[in-house]
Parts: sequence; C-alpha cells; structure tokens
Amino acid sequence: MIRYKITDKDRETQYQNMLRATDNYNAENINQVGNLKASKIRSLVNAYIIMETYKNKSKVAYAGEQFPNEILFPFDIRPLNIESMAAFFARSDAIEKFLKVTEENNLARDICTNIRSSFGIALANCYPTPDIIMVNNHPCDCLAKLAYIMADFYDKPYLALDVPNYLNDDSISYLVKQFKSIMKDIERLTNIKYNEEKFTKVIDYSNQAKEYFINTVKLTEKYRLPEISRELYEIFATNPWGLKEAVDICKTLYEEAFELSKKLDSNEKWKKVLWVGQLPNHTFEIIEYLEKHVEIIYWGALMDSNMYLLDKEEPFKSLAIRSILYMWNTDRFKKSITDVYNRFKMDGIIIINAWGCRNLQGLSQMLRVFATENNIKYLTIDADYMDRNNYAFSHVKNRIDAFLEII
Amino acid sequence: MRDILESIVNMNEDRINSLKRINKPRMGWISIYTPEEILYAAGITTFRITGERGINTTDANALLSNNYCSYVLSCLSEGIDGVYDFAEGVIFVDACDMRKRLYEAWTRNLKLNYSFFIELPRDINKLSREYYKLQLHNLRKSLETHFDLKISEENLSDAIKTFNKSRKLLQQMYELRKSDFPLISGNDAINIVKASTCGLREEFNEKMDILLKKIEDAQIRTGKLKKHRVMMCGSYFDNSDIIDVIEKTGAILVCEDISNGIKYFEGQINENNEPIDAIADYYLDKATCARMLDINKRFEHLYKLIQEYNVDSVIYFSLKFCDTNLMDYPIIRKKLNEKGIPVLFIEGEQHMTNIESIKTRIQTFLETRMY
Repeated sequence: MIRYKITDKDRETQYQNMLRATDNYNAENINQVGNLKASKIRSLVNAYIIMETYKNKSKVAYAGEQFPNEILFPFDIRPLNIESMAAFFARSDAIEKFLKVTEENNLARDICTNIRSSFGIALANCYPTPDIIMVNNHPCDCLAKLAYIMADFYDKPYLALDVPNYLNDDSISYLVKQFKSIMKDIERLTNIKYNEEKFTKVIDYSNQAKEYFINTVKLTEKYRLPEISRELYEIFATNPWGLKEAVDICKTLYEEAFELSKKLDSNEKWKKVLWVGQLPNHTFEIIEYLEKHVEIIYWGALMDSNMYLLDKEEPFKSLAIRSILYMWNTDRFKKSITDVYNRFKMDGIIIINAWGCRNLQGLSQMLRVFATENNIKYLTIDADYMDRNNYAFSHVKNRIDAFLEII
Repeated sequence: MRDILESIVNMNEDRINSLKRINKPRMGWISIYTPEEILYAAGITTFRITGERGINTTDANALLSNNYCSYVLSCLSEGIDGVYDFAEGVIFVDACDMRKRLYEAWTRNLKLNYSFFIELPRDINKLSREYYKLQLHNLRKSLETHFDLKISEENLSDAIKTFNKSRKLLQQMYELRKSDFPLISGNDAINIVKASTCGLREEFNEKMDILLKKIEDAQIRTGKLKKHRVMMCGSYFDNSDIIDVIEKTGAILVCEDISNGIKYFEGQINENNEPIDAIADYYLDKATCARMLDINKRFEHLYKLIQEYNVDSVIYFSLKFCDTNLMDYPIIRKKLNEKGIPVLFIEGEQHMTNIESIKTRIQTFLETRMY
C-alpha cells in the first residue's frame, strides 16, 4: 500500500495511534530507567515534552540530531527528534510493523534502520503533525532527506540549516547568516514574535546545564561511575540544551555523581572501554553483557562539540561553531577520541557500526588504522538495534568474549 | 556515421592513455557539481574519475567500508592502484556522505600534489548561492597559488564558451533521440557523454560537430515499427550489459537522467554575467541530483524529460548503498505512478555481477509493457 500524504492530521488521533502502537511496550524497561534521581527527572521531562507535542495547541518543530534547539525555544516551539522517538518505539513490538510498512512503500532495507523506522512511524501516522520542519544535515544525508520528505508528507513548511564541514571564517559567517534568516522565517511562519530576552535566557540555561555536565564528566574521569556515564550519554542524546529543565537534570546528576564518588572503594579496579558509536537502550544485550565485565565510557557524550559553551555576547557565532564541530570529520574524530582515551586511561575501544550509518562506517575504518598504529586494543561490532534481521547477539558475543580476554 | 561515432566512443575507452599523453596538468573529478570551467581556465585538463578500472575493491573496502556505494569504492580503488598517478590532483565535492569520507580516505592514504574540497549546499537560496560562489572564488585562488598563475576573466569566459559548446552539441545529439526512430543507441549515448569527460575537450567538440551533421543527414529515415521508449534515471550508471538487455527486448533507451547523461550537460552558463557568478548559478540551478533536498524539483525535471522524450517506461537504477537515490525512490515512484508511468527499480553494483537476475526482471517488466 502506498500512502504519502497524511489526511488525518489531528494530534489527538495521532496520540491514540501512538498509544495503540506502544500498547505492548516493554514495561519492564520503563521501570529500569535507572536508580539515579537525574535519570528519573530526565525521563519524566522527556515524557512530558513528548505528550505536549501531541497537543493541538502546541507549536511543534521536527528537528534532527544535534540541531541547535536554542533557536527554537525563544519561540516556545517544542522540538521533536523523530529519530529519537523511533528509538522509543523500538522498545515495543510495533517496530517490526513500522519497518515492514517502509518495505511495502519501497524504501530499501540498506538505509539506516533509524531512518527507516522513523519513516514507518510517520506512515503509520503515529507522530504528531509538525507545524514546521527543521532540516539539518548534521548526522547524515538520509536524515536531511527524511526531513524534506516529512515536509512533503505533512504538507508543512521546512527550513534548511546547511552546515558546512570545515571550520573557518567563511563557514561560520555563512551559518550565522542562516541562523538570523531562520529566526525571521520562524517568526513569519508561526506568527510568534522573536523575544531577545528569552533567547538570552535560553543561552544562559544552555551554558548552565553544560557547566554541570562538564563537571560531571570530570568526576567520571577520576571515579568509576558507570550509571553516571550512561546518564551523560542519555542527556546528550536528548539534546536538551537551552531548556530550564536541562539545568535541573544536569545539576542533580552532578550532585549525585559527587556523592557517589565519595562512597567508592578506591581499590576497586575495572577495565575501561570506550564505546564509540550509537548507543542502544541500556537493557540491550550487548550493553548488559559488557557492563558485567568492564566499565563503559560513552564517547558521544564527550564529543568536543557537546562540551562547547556558548558565547553570550555572540550566541549565533558560537552556535555556528558548535554546529560545525558536530559534523563528522576524521581529524576531529581522531583528536577527540585520542584525547578521551588518554584522559580516561582506557584499556580498549569498541566501535559500533550501526547498520546503514555510512559516516561512522567510513570513520571507524580509519579509526581502526589509528588504533593499530597506536597499539590500542579495539573491537568492531556491526549491530542493528531495531531490525533483528541485521544482527544476532550470538555472533557478536563470540567477538566480545575474545576482546575481553585480550584486554 | 559509424566511423566518427566509434571514434568518439574510442575517446572514452582510450581515456587513460590519452590523458597520459597530454602535456598539461591534469585534474580528476568525481561529482558533476565540479566547476570544470575554472580548472580549464587555469590551463588544467579535467577528467572524470569513472571507477571503471577499479573492479577489485578489497583495499578500498578496508579504508572505507564494505557497505559503501560501489562507485565510490571503485574510484578509490583506481586511486590505490595508481591509475591516475599522472594527475596533479583530484577535486572533491560534498556530494554525499560517502564522497566526504572518500575525500578523507583518499587525501590521507594516497599521495596527491593537489586536492580541493568544495562545500555544496543542499537547499538553493540566496545565502547558499553566496556561499557556493565563495567556494568557487576560493578554488580559483587556490589554483592560482598552487600553479603560480593568474586566472583572468578572459580565461574564464573562454572556458565557459568551450564548455557551453560541448553542452550544446550534446543537447543537439540528445534532441535527435526524441525522434521515433533514433539512430543513437543508449550505450552510444552514454559513451559519448563519457567521452566528453575524458579531457580532450576541443577534439570532442570537433568530432561532435561532424557526428551531428552525419546523424542529421541520416535521421530522415523512417520505419514502421515504433519502439517502446525507455528512460534510465538514478545513481551513477554506465553498465552496457543492462542497456543491451533493455535494447534486446526490442525497446530502446532514449534518455538517461543520470550523471553520465542529461544531468552532466543540460542548460548553459550565461556568458554575459560575471564568470564565477554565472558558473555558480549554472550548477546550482540544475540542482536535480538526488543529493539535493528538493525531491519535487527532481521529479518535475524527470517528468518534463519523460514528456519531451515520449517515454513509455522508466527504469530507476540505484547503486546498492546509494542512500540519496534510495531515499528518493519511494517518492519518485509514487509520483510517477500517479502520472500513470510504470517504474522498474533495479539495485546493483557498478561492476555488475548478478546480471542474469536483473535481465529476467527487465525482460519481464518491458515485455509485459510492450506486448
């Protein structure tokens, strides 16, 4: 069946569709959000934000991974990352139906599963209708294409943020101009007046949250705090920078990390492994298995771009720099991993190639060369967190066991 | 007519030997968004890296990934095998994720005297035009520095005229394929377009002048049996076996909306505008490649060609793992079906290994349409 235009755009209907799709949601997973107070707050805030996006009165923008949400918050627009939402749906049995519907609609199975599932969820009319679509090219070609397709699908306007690959005066200036132009376009499309005071506040919240985040990272550098490390990644993945709630979450996490660090047995030594690549939910079998044997440090949360603080005097310029730093790039990738590897005194690296992620596949091969040259023990795993046709734990486990023996 | 046609086709087949004989700096390119005119104006011979000789991609797989588009892997294989060691360098364009990684793998692992990476916007607007123009000015400056020369406005204008002439000649050749009884086969057409990218620009233009005159003289022939007209669109494509399969069914390939077809030579650069501005506008205005965001623009362009060439069936060819074309396909198919145009989707590698299964699918698709 081919269906490319949403006819029923009522968010209440879509909310009911979403509930039906998640009817058999793995409830056990929900209860295992984690023992940390920060994790619970983050989970509640996420749930609240998602619920709000299904309300007809809300202004909703689809915004991809690493989109600078700080430019949306001054307009009280709620950004929805449909790729992250797909990860949420991945915990329910419905994910298989969503993937099937994409095949019925001629989307190739070679495309990254995150994109395929997002497409399937939209086809099943389980996302809330957006008011506007922000197209950013940060993670990949497919996500940018998907955003455009969604604009066509819901018949809604899109605004493209074209992020260059290399950091220089020209690319920064190009992005600054785009931000200013996008702000005007948002005003025009939503009839919401830009409020400079709110924007300043948003930048302030973004930095406050980041400072707690960075201080927490420093604690994980010194102490074995696996749950904290995991939560840092979860926060990074939700891209909450600019929300007041993000300050609360990061502050709580820092306080918890500080308290936990005081209670640790300093004689307890665990091998440390750097996890490079996308992260599945914490009950995914690879993670559960590894966590019994080693301490995992999640690189994504430690990316230089993610630690970058915004300049209150020149917010657009600093947003531009951060945006470019988020682009995949071999030199930055290698530098960042080397830095983290040395600072955290790692014992090995696990590189995860998520099915269909061309950027990471290309970069990880180069990382292998780097690891070999520097006598770093590494393991490369091909995995798919959503489509079981592309992955079997039994095969991966043999390789993990061999890697654990080596380190 | 056949002699001159074969002479042009041979230009493509003999491209490496010809390029080696040229006593000028030579520069390879991988995306049709490369502004060849600027390089030509600097006295550089430009040629497309085709990946034709990169059949064994084992080493390239190790530097990138098995799950990469075979055109990208084959191009890198050619680099690894030293096929282009005679060249001064390669111009890369941000034409897709895999080509970005190709740029990094190539420049880090293989010795190049010169390379340049052009950032290409996905969405065409005033700001992205300005930025692309800036990229082209930077390329000009970079070439001037590297080769210690000055690229004058006159050099640029002359280059634009030369390339516009090639475009016009190719457009005239394709125009003749709109006839009910075209004399140029699909394989010949693709080989001619590829010949235009083999570095012998003036020779190509001269030979094309002769060929077109000969075709025009011969084109007055008519016949009784009008053939089923097929269009090819999608990824990088130059697989002669697939075209043979299509044409052996009794159908004829009349148009290729691909980078080895119309997408390479359509339109003209405005010779009256400031040269760099005109070059930038030309490349961005023909933004109908799958890499660009606007699928609707791509579809409208495709549909216009279908009407102009009186196409009966469309074959959408995507290289395996060519994400941008794979993402566009469901939408393009839907829109074509709404217009009553049937589409066959073929996914393959540049150096096809499963031609038999593809043959069966093409035969079944076309025969059910034709008889």
